[in-house]
Amino acid sequence: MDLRTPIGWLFTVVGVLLTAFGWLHRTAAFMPTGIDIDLVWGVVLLVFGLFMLGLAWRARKRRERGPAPAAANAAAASHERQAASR
Amino acid sequence: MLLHLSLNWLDKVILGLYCLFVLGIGWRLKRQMRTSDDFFLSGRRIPSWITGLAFLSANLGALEMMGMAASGAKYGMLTSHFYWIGAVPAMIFVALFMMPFYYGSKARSVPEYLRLRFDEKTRALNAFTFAIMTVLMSGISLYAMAILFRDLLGWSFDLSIWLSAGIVLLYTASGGLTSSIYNEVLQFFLIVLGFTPLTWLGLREAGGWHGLQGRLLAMGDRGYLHLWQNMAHPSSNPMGVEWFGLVMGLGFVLSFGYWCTDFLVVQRAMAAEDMAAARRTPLIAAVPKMLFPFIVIVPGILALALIPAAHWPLQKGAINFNEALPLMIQQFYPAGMLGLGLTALLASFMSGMAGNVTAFNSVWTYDIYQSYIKRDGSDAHYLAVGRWTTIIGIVLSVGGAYLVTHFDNLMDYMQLVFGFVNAPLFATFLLGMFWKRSTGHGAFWGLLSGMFGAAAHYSLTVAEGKGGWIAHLHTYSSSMAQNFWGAIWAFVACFAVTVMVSLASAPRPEAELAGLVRSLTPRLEEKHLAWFRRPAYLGVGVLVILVALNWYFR
Repeated sequence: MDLRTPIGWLFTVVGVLLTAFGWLHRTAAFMPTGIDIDLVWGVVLLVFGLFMLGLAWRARKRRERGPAPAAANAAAASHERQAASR
Repeated sequence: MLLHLSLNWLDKVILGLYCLFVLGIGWRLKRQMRTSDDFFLSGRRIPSWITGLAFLSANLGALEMMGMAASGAKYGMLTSHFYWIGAVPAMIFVALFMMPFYYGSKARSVPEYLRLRFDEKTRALNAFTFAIMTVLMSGISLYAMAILFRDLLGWSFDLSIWLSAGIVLLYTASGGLTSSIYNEVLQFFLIVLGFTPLTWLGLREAGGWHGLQGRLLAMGDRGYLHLWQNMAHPSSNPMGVEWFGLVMGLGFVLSFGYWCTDFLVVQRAMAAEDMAAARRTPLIAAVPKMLFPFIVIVPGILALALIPAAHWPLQKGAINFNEALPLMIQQFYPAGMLGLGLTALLASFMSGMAGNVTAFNSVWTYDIYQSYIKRDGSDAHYLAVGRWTTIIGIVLSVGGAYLVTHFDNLMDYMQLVFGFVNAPLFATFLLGMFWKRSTGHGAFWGLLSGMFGAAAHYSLTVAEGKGGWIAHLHTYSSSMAQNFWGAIWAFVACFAVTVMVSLASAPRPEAELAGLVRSLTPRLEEKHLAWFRRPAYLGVGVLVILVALNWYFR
């Protein structure tokens, strides 16, 4: 499991909830500092959540395509060096 | 009088969503746990960005979040010493100089490294003290969480304990170390995203950093925003410590003793996918570690500057600084953000407990059960033992939490004793890894002498009315100074006795020490890595940022 997936989903869902809540409650009681922080930070969480989901999606696509030749070579070289150091 | 916060439906939904995700992660990981290596070491295949963030979060319990905000209000930016000089040099050292032996020796735990390097009795001493301390610390943090949620939200003490212990049990018994690490990373993001707005909103209210400085000056500032300029003498700063005690006690002995030898944090690096990733783990952790004062300490300073004294809850007639973080949350967070902030606190508690339980698991199963109870079990047997140990560890933690409720001073005494046990550890590892002549007898008697040295120092000195059980030879300006100097004495005692006993005992053949001692281990070749992946370059980069921060806030 790619950890970015659950992190992305959690912050996306919380971001949507906070944004909607902030949008619907634009009264002084919900804005102690004069800023609609629920709305503003909800959007930030949503963007972060979607970004993590995007990274996870990109990594999955790469895995499906198979390792790139350069990355495979680097991994092989790293294994050889580790074996030598043991 | 204590603060009381009331939760809106959205706050409860956010808390519930977090619990669901945590359980979901454990459930998904359960299928991947096929061998004991998967369960205890995450199969050594976790990328360094994950182990790095877990390395940092494993140390970031909710008690620390509350305590650092409280210290921020009490001592100001001086508290950042715990995050900067009190952590970062040690993190660079463990990454560059010690990880090659921890990871390269293929030891499965820190006590196991001690057996490979020294002998069985040194391992046993470390394994038993670590196992007992870990499970009791987990109990203490469980107790603190239940008290916080009872006082702040009016939740039942028993319900808080059993519910959070139940959730931690479900996800750690399912996914082992991986579950624990994944949840620590989730906790990291929750803390960063849950508390950054507090600093932002607070600074905005204060009129920016200069506005904050102005307010503190108007209150009769005693150097709240400076790290070094008042450190010449204990009486010239609110911590009551001078620069030498701070640098040697906190910056060297205590910090290196914790970050370089505590299995709870080192275990995260041991789960990394290769040697370079293991070495990068503490360095990746060091970057957010250096920035954390801005989200955990600055809110405390802001609380002092922005919230009038009349609004602070009192304790024995004085301002109760422990309420700094709850006060800031109450003042600046509406419903919704409140849920996010509390979820970050709950996540710190639960992942702190899970971290303790998984470290306890490995040490119990590998260093105690497999070594002294059943040596030749199958892999499936040890995997089952690991799962059962999770359950037992959690039951013991809950027992520890209830024990603390019945004996008021027990928590203080336990923390005191743990301090004695931990203080000398770094001397043992330093000599073990860098002096091939040090022996098992030297390490064992050195460790015991260090613990005795710490206890003797406490028994002979007094600070804030504490200590001086045997005689009163010296008075410190603060408990913190007594703690730092106790660590220095413990280190010196352990170092000296280890050297003397080692020289008097027979050395081990050099062939047995290859891969365990620096002078007998081939240097690592990392030229094939891109520059930004090389631990040495990263270490230098981290050091430059550390110096810059200390210079700016001097």
